[in-house]
Amino acid sequence: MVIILEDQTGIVKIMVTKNKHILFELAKDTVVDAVIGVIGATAEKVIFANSILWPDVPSDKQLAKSKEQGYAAIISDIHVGSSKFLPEEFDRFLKWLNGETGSAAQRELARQVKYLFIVGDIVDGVGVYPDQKKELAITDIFEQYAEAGRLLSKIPKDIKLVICPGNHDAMRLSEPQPAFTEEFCKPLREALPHALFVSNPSMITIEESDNFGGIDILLYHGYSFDYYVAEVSSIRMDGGYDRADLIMKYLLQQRHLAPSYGSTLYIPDPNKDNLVIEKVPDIFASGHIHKTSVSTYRNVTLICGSCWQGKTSFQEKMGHHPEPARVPLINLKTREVKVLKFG
Amino acid sequence: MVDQNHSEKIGKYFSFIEEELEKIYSIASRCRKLGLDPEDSVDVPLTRTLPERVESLVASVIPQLKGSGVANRISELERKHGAQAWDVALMIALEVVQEKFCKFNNKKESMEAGIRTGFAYATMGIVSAPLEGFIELKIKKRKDGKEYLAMIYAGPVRGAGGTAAAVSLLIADYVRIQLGYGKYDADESEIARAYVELVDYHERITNLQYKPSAEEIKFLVKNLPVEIDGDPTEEIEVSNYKDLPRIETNRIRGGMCLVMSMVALKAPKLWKVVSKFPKELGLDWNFLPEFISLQKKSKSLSSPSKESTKKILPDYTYIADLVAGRPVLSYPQRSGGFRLRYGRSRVSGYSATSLHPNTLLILDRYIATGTQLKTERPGKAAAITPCETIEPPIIKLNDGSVLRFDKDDKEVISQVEEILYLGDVLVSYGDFFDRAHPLVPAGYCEEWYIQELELACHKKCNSIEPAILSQESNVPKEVFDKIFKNPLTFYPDAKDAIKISKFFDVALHPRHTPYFSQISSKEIEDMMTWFQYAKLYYENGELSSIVLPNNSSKRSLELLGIAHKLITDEHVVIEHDEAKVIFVVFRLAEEIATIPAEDNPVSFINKVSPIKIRDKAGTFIGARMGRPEKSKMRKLKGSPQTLFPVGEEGGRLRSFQAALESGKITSSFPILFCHICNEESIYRICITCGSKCAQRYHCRYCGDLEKPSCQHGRADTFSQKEIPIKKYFDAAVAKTNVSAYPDIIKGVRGTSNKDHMIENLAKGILRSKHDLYVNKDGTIRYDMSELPITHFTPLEIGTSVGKLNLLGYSKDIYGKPLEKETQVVEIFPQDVILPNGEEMTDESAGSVLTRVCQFVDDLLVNLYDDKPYYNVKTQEDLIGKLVIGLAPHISAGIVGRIIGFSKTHAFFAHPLYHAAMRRDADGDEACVLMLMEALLNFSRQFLPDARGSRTMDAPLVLSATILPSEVDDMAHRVDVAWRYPLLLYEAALQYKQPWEVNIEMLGNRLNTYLQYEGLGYTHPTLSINSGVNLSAYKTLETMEDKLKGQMRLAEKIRAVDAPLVAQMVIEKHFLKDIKGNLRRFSSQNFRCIKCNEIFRRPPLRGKCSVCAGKLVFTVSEMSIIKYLEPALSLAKLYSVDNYVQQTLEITKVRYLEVFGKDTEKQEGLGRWFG
Repeated sequence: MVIILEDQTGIVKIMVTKNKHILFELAKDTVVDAVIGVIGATAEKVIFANSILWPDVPSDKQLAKSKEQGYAAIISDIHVGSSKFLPEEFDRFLKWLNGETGSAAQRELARQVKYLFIVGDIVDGVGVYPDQKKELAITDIFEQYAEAGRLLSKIPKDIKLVICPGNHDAMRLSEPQPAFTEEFCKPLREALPHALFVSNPSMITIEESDNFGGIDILLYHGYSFDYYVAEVSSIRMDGGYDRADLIMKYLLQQRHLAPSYGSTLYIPDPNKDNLVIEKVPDIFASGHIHKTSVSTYRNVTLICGSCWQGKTSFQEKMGHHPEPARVPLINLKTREVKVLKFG
Repeated sequence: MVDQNHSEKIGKYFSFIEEELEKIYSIASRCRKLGLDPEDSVDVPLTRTLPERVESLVASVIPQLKGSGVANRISELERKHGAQAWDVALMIALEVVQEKFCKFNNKKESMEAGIRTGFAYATMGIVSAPLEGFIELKIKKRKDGKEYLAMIYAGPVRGAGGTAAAVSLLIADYVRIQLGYGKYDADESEIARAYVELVDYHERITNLQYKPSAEEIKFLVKNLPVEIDGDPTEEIEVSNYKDLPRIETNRIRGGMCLVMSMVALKAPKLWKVVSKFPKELGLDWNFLPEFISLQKKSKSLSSPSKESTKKILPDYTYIADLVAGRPVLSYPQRSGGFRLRYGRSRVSGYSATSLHPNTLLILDRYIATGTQLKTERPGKAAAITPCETIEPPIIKLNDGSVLRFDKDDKEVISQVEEILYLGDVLVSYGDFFDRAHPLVPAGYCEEWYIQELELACHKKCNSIEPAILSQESNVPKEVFDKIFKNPLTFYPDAKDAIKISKFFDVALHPRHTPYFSQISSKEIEDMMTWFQYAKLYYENGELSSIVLPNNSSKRSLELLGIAHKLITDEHVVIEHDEAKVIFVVFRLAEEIATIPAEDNPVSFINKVSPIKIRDKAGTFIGARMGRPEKSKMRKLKGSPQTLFPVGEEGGRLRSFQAALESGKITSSFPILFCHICNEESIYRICITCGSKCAQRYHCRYCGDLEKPSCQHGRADTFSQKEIPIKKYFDAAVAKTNVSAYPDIIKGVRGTSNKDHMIENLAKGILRSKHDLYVNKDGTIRYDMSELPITHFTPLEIGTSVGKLNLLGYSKDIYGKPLEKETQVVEIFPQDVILPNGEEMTDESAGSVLTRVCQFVDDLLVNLYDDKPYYNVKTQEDLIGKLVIGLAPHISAGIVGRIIGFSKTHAFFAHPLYHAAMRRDADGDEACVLMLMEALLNFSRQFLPDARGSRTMDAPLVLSATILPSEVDDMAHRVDVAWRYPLLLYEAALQYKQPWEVNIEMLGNRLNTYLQYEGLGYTHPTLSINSGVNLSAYKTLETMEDKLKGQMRLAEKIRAVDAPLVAQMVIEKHFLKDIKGNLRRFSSQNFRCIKCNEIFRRPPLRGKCSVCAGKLVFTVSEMSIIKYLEPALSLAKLYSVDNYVQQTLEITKVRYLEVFGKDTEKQEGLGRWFG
């Protein structure tokens, strides 16, 4: 296998032999345009690789724990407006947050929720894919956001609400996507004056105090994920769309949310690559995959939100297995994660 | 000598062609012997029979089969098993595999050769599918370790057609059994993969003709004894079931999808034949009956209760992929659309349909002869021809008057406010039969009426003798004389028509019948009230006009299609025949008692009217414009004039002039050596001494060699080198004898064929002198839209009667001697009529081919030291000359003979001729080559070394004569009757299947001499040049103009919803395009402005890594914004659906976010329809 490595001075060919099995698998998993390091023996015009290095997360990354008791909940992909939107399940979730349902322990848990992060696709949108209209219950984008606002305004006001957009939301698709703009999302902003609307991706620090640097949460909806499921065979082999955490881990290792050119839509910024994961977060939260998965990689919690939409015909065809109405909850003091079911 | 297959006349015709062929072949062979071309012989072998053609075609990729006896053996097998029997394909395949004719390197190769031969036989040796549609046979492992066979298909398999593609599997299975391989044992994921892949292909690549259900695919894959596999043909991957161990690619395999769909589609036909196969063959396809019943079940599920309703539903498929700028002419089954008329004109049938010339005019000239229509039924598409003997449009003018538009009048066209009825579309019975489309009701028409009248006359008077009928009915004798003689063009006036109807008890003549079914019974009642206010005026004792107050019933009058005028906005005036008909039908003179309620308006009016009224409407058919017509000399990209490389030295224009300035050309050239001059050469003949050069070789490690191979294996016959171009150029100029060579002579950047074979430069200089361009195979092509013609008049093709007599045309269709230019003559099966109008955007065939002939004579005299052959000075001299007809997906040319020129863009030829090219006339194009030119210049060594290019669209073999039993069997469904029976119209009212009515078709005449002549047609066409010959689509330059024209038509045509058209244009075309380009912009490639190198992304150094040039975008902002403006304008003007409006607005924001929010830009958006 040959990898062509490029820097500002030119290119060099890297040879990876099949015999070094682990190395070869690593080389196979390396996507185009990724930033990598290579150690090897140089020959005329080629380097025979002995090992390949990815930017990765430092192995001594500390587990950041809050001083205070409290929980953060992660949801995504509500898809209000879709005919497959699950109003009963979502209502159950809202009721729980308001302490109106569940066992005593569950109500107590709800009381301790300090943050709710919504990682994109608040509404199903309009004109997102061909013939979408047939699958919409609400075909007007303003009405979709008004309905989303109406639902989300039921969230207790003492919970800090942080919302970023996804690829179904009505704004530019190119990343970084700005926080919900006035143009189409006004009804949502008006309904939720207390919410924090942020860009996609964005990095939020919570629980910061005098002697604690806080917990950094990276929010990214996950539009680039499809590309890496398709391109990285190890992700596919180990579960593909059922294992969003593998995709997230992979991108964390690349320290980039879309390392391959063209893997997501983006707007180049001459000063800065906005999709680089410069600072390693403590929690990496995403969505888009419609199935919750939670794991930890070098003390970074990887969480993919679930969804509030039933299985679409598209997912049916793609062989996806969405699991709606799950809510991962992070104990900020212990960093333990539990997943609640609302459906 | 009278063969039972053809008459003496046709025999003479074939010998005429044969003699001319011999002459041309002998001259061309003599010339090629000189060694100036890649081979010393003509590279287009002439084949006279199917077996010969099969052998020659397969031998073009497996040379050892040439002359191996395969052709003879096929003939033997045919005698034993019958011509074109599938057994023959199986047996010849096996015998080739068993190396009975020649040896192969290994078993795999022999099996592949056998399957190719059998497959070529099954496809009549015409298409390239056996050569490049089936690429490889793979031997794979079963789960139990045994071996099974997988057929690897690719895109060109499309050309085989469904049945033959299915037969290729049978052949493979037969070989499998005989050689003892196991059956394919598909597992669950492979089965699921096949289905997902088909769906992906259908939805994301291109529509499959037939999309099998999940159950069908599962069943097929599970049971097929041979695996259907394919090479990856698409960039995109399947959406699911990747990384399967036995399927080598995750990308979509187009060939697999095509074959799978075709096998499913043709399963019933396949079973019909396979079930009759002798047991000895050992084939076990007994799973097919179960598959077929499964298929029926899933079909009935997808279209519920098709049987019970009987009626047909509007079908929107043809609009689904509508294109901006190509107008929608009628919504499906919409009132006022194209009225179905059964019949065939001499230029229709075989997927071509005719419209009235005035329909073409009234549609703002968007539709011309040869333009493709996408149609609702019976087929998906049709090419258009004119026919004057069907209904023209009915239009409403700005002044409120309504008229039947039967005279071409520019003044009238400029005043059209609404096209109430588009007029007839003439569809042949054969096309319904071929598409297996149930017959649907026809509107009342002249040919239906006349048959009912004949019957009624017999019944009433026991005679159809005009004198007797006249005496009895008191209708003038000449009315009967004329109407029986010319039922389509003559009609009785209202007075006589009413008399006839009353006396013989037949329905009112269709010419006087209003469209009662298009208004409601209530509206008819309202009209009756309205008529109470009618003022009647008489002239010479006859009713001359009816004057009515203008009110809402005027609309009903319009919808009935009754001509009238509107005076000072107050008075509606109905005159002449129309007045008389209304007077009688609505019983204006009587006090009418209450009519019992009746919902059906036709039944209702029949309760009012004293004479029978039939439904004039029948079935309306929806259509939109498809591809515009075309006729044009083919030019390759960069329009080269010779297949001789100019390298980078040729500059931007790839010219020899530029190369001459730099003195050299660096490219890949063949390596030859002249021992006499002791000099390297690039030609096989030394340009200095004229002797033969020896081939030399090149190894990338050892350098130039004298032997064809070295320790590194086979060496190349070419190398990358620098040649002194002046030497070769001067030699070529000297050879061509031109006093001053042309200003610009264009070559190719580099040759793309396997051995980098080049053309003699002299050919390029001469082409340039005659302003001609070369095709990839060394020939000159002229492309045209294909149209069928069975009969012609000397006048319309511009050929004198004298000349036609010499070509064998001695009698007209009535058997009278051909003496006048207006007589109608039946065309010979291989004669062609080419474009030569003044109304063309490109140069006509007449003038291009004239120059081709002059070029050929120049070649003969100057390069080959021979005598001129053509001696063509004007295009008239082209009459009688032989051409090769060739369609893009085939590998066998068909000899044709030019007999004249029309003013259209069409390649007019006999349906059999198109069928020999495996084409119908649904808007496809084909090309002609002058025969001598092709024989002198064609070499398969020139063909690019890429899939599809190696064999497709190239005259690898040439068929001398057409045998109707050996052409695409769709031509067997061309109906040849002079009149359709009354039974057809009655069967159509009951939605019967076409085969329940008996009408003679070409297929009924196979193997008799009538297969070539004596064809009939039902509706005369005055001239094939009538109507419109150049589509407005081609003359309107900008998309803006085309779109405006499209919307103008949408507003005028009653059968079209303008706001819906606007919405669909936005959704299906503009939004798709804008979004696609916006997405592509984010992942676009970059190009170096200096060296044109393409980069997937910019290199890190920020400039071209080859030449350090500046990099630029490859997707322009313009490509995104070009449709955003019109989309926004349209949306606003037609206040389209809120959903579409919002989608557009969001898209606009996305665009502005990417490209910046200049206020100027924002104002610019939405300016188009302002």
